[in-house]
Order: sequence, then C-alpha cells, then structure tokens
Amino acid sequence: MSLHLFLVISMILCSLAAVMAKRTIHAAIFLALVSIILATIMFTAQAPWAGAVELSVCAGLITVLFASTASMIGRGESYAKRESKIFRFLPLGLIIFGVIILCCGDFFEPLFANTHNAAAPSLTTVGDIIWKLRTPDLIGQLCIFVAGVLTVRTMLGEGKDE
Amino acid sequence: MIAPENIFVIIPLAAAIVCAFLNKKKSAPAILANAVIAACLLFCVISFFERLGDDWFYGEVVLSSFMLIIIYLIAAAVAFFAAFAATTKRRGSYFAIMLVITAGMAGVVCAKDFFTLYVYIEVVSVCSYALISFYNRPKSTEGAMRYFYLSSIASAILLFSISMLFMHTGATSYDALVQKILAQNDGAALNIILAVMALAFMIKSGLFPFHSWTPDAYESATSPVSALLAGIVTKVVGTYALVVVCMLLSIINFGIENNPIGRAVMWFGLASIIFGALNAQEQKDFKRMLAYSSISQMGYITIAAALATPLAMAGAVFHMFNHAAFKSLLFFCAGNVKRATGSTEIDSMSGLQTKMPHTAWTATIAMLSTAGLPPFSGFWSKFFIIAALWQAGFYGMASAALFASVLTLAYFLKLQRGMFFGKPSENISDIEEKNFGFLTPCFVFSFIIIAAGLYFPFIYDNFLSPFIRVLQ
Repeated sequence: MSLHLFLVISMILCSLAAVMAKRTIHAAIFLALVSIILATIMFTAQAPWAGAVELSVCAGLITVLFASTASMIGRGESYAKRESKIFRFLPLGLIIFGVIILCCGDFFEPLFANTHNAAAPSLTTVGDIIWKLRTPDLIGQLCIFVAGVLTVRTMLGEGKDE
Repeated sequence: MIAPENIFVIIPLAAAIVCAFLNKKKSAPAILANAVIAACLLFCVISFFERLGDDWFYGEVVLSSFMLIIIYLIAAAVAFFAAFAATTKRRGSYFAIMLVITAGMAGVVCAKDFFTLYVYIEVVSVCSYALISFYNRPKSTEGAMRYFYLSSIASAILLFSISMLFMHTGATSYDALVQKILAQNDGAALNIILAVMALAFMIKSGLFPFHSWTPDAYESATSPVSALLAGIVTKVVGTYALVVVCMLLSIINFGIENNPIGRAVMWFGLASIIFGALNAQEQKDFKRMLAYSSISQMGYITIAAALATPLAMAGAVFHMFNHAAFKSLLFFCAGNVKRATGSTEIDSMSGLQTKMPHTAWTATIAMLSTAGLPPFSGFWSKFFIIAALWQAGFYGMASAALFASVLTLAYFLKLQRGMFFGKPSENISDIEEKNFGFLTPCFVFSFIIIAAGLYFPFIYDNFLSPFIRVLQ
C-alpha cells in the first residue's frame, strides 16, 4: 500500500512539474515519467494490459512526438534558461518522500483496501506482458524512438544541405 | 527467445543505429544499408522456399512472407539507387531512416495483432515524413506536411477503431478475432468497427477522395523516396492492412453478397481507378502523372481485396507485387531523366530515346505492364481482378476497370510520344545517360516484370496458390 501511495503522489508531483516546467523538453520528460508511473500503478492494480498499452503508447510514442515538437520550438530560444528553482530539487524531494512512505506507509493502508478485490490475471508482471506477449510492440517502440530521434536530427540538426 | 519474424525488424533497426553514427562517412552508410537489406532479402527468399509445402504454411502466413520479399526487394533497389543518387552530406541519417522505414514495414507485415500493426504503421509514417522533407526544400516540406496531417488523422481513426474492436471483442490479434467472429452470430457492430478501420487504411493508401497528399508528396520527394513511397510504403500501410480487414469482413458476412462495407470499399476502389486514370491524362509532369497513375492502380488492388474471392485475392496480392515493381521502375526512370535534363516536365523535351535508350526502353516495359498488356506481369494481375469481378457478377465494375486500363495505355503513350520517342528537341543535344548505378535497378525490375509475366504459372503455384488455399 505504501508503494501505491508513493506512486500516486509521485505522479501528481510529476504532473505538476510537467505543467510548470519552463523548458518544454523538461515538460515532455516529466510527462513521460507520469505515464511510466501510471503504467506501474496499473500493473500493481492488476490491470496489466492497460499498463502495457499506457507504457507502450504514452511513455513511448507520445513522448517522442512531444520531444520532437519541443526540440522544434525550443531551437535557438533563450527565453527558458531560468527555470523555477523548486523543480531542480524535485528528484531529491521524491527520494525523501519515498523513504518516508516506505517507513510509515501502513498508516495509509485503509485508503487502498479495495484494490485487493480485483481479479488477478494469469500473467501479471511487466516482464510477462512485455517479453512473453507484447515483444513485437516493444521492438516497435524502439523503432519509433529511433525514427523520432532521426527525424528531429534530420529536420533540426546541424549540417543541413544547402 | 526472439521470434524469427522479429529478426527482419531487429537487424535493419540495429544497422540504422550504426548508420546514424556514420554521418561524416561518404560511402560507409550506403554500403552498410545495401549489405543489410540485401542479406535480409536473401534470408526472406530462402526461408520462404524452405517453408513452402509445410502444412501450416498457407493463408496469412504466406501473405506476410510474400510481402516481406516485396518489401526487401524494393528497399534493396531503392538503397542501391540512392547510394548513387543521394547528394546529401548527411548520408548516415539518410540511410538510417531508410533502414528504419524498412524495419517498420517488415513489422507491419509480420504483425499478428492490430495494435502491433498500428505501432509499426506509425514508425513508417514518421520515417516517410522525414524522407520526403529530407532536403528541406519548400515544396518537399509542404508535401511532407500535407502527408503528415492526413496521416495523423488516419492514425487517430485507426487507434479509435482498434479501441472499439478491443472493447467489443476483448481481442486485437487476428487469430483471436477470427475465433470471436466465428463464435458470434451478430456481426453488425464488428462491421461498423471494421468500416472505420478500412477508412483509416484508405486514407493511408492515398485512395480517392483521400488522395490530396499523394501527388504533392511523390512529386516533391527525391526519386528514390518517391519509388519507396509509391512502390511499397502505401501498399504496406494501406492496402496490405486493407486486405487483412477485408478478409475479416468477408468472414463476418460470408462473402460479398451480404457485405455492405465490402461493397462500399469496392466503390471507393472503382472511383480511384477512374479518377486516377482521368487525372493522369491532364498532367504535364512525369512524376505527377505517375502519382495519379498510382491512385488508379491502388484502386485495382482495393476493389479486388474488397471482393475477397480467391481469384480476386490472388489478383490483389499479385497486383501489389506488380505495382511495386513497375511503379518503382518508373520513378527510377523519372529520376534518371531529372538528373540528365534537370526537369521532369513532359512538354519541355522530346526524343530522349536517342540520348537515353536504356531509360526509355525500361520505362516502356513498365508502362506496358501498368496498362496490363501481355506478356508482361501486369497483364495477369489485371486479368485476375477483372475476371474475378465478372465471375462475381459485377459486370459494370469489370467493364469500367477494363476501360481504365485503356485510359492507362493512352496517358502512357502520350508520355512516351512526348518525352521519349518524339522528334529530338534541341535542348537535349548535350545530355547523356547516367552510369551503371542508376540503370541497374531499372534493368533488374524490367527483368522481373518480363520474367513474372512469362513464368506466371511458377508465381501462381508457389506464391499465390498457398495464400488463397485458406479462402477456398
């Protein structure tokens, strides 16, 4: 349960960071983190298929698209050099918060009592879903990532043809 | 353990990553890309013939394997042509994107699940966008943006339909869907979902009336990229996927008689055939004419796929192969003309045959095959499609398809007379035909078109017959 709480609050913090980050590329990274945490929550809440799709589409594809867009609009701009100081310490804050929750998480357990009632499918781990059932999707995500990076590099990178 | 079909995705993907780091090298990216694609092509062909005759090797598995061969064949020719034609300083990125798009197409045909299909279609779309706009010319960027907008809409529609499919049946894999369809009596909801999905694939195919991106993208891209797009990309992300959907529709409705969605798709196919052929007559640019010709030829594949009888499916699949071969060849010829003369305007030159005989004659072979004249391979596929339409009682559609073939011959004869075989114009006096690298893919595809036409029984027995066995 403490893990659930940690994940939910981390997701909220990352969402806030995504909305308030001044550099769009950082916003895209925080959004990817939100998707990854959400996928983890889905896996722990016995919804592995939804988790796999969330991880596959949102954390992979959408992040590449957002990162590409961020690279396009952020190129050569200097307006976002200064970022709110509070978010520089966000990773440290998350670690401290995680330690606290792990130590006294049982206190919050009644909040999540209902999740135990969910029916457990036969394959429940991330490894099972991704490696045994969705291997082609995983390779597809790698392809999407490489394609996205190459596209951004082609369109915005140095050394363009005259 | 990695499944054998994933090898065809992983190898070009790994090569692409290596290629991306070779941006400053002049020859290494082209050599690496050509070697990897040629090795994959060889592996595809060997594994196809090794599995031929096995009890389980029929239907969709044969279609995937056949499509893999077509993908790697076209990719090999394009990579070879591009090795000589690409003038960019960023050759590493150029060939890396070409390898990723090949990996993406291999992923599409190896997919056994609609969600996996969607993921790989997105890979192909992103790479196509990058390749069209690679040289950052205003016209190519405009073409790429147009492609991107329409493709994004198609992707959104596709994702929506996959979600609906999952909600309704609880499955997205082809095998599970067939089981669910056979177990259910009411296919009304599935018909609607598959109709939405077919719409997405028709946009991706560039069929009329969703064709607006096709002429701009094909005309503005470089010739190797146009050959790749027209030759194989639209077939894999559009018509191949449409064939899968049409097969499911046929299973739900037990044939075309009770299949309203299939009939609607057939009408879209017929409209594309006529619209493409009529518009091609009006074009003044070689590549733009080829783009409209592609719209017309995709219509033939669509109409046959939607009809979904064994004869029609054999025609659709063989026409995919033929169209890949002759359209790629024509775009290579257009590239040769552009390099030699600086233009692809039909009226700006004539009599090119005197200066570029190899390009002129290989283009003629491709054009005659496109028009469906014997003994070229295009004759057999068009014959199968028209015969299947006639056999199923669609006499009007069969006649219209036959008439469009005559139109195809007419616009290509106009092009031949205007550009290649007329009286030589003065502005071509100092041009010369390009070297071995530019002509080799033209010779190879000319040979394939003639050989596939003359040895059609071999093609039918080994490639088409195992595929249509499942439909019979």
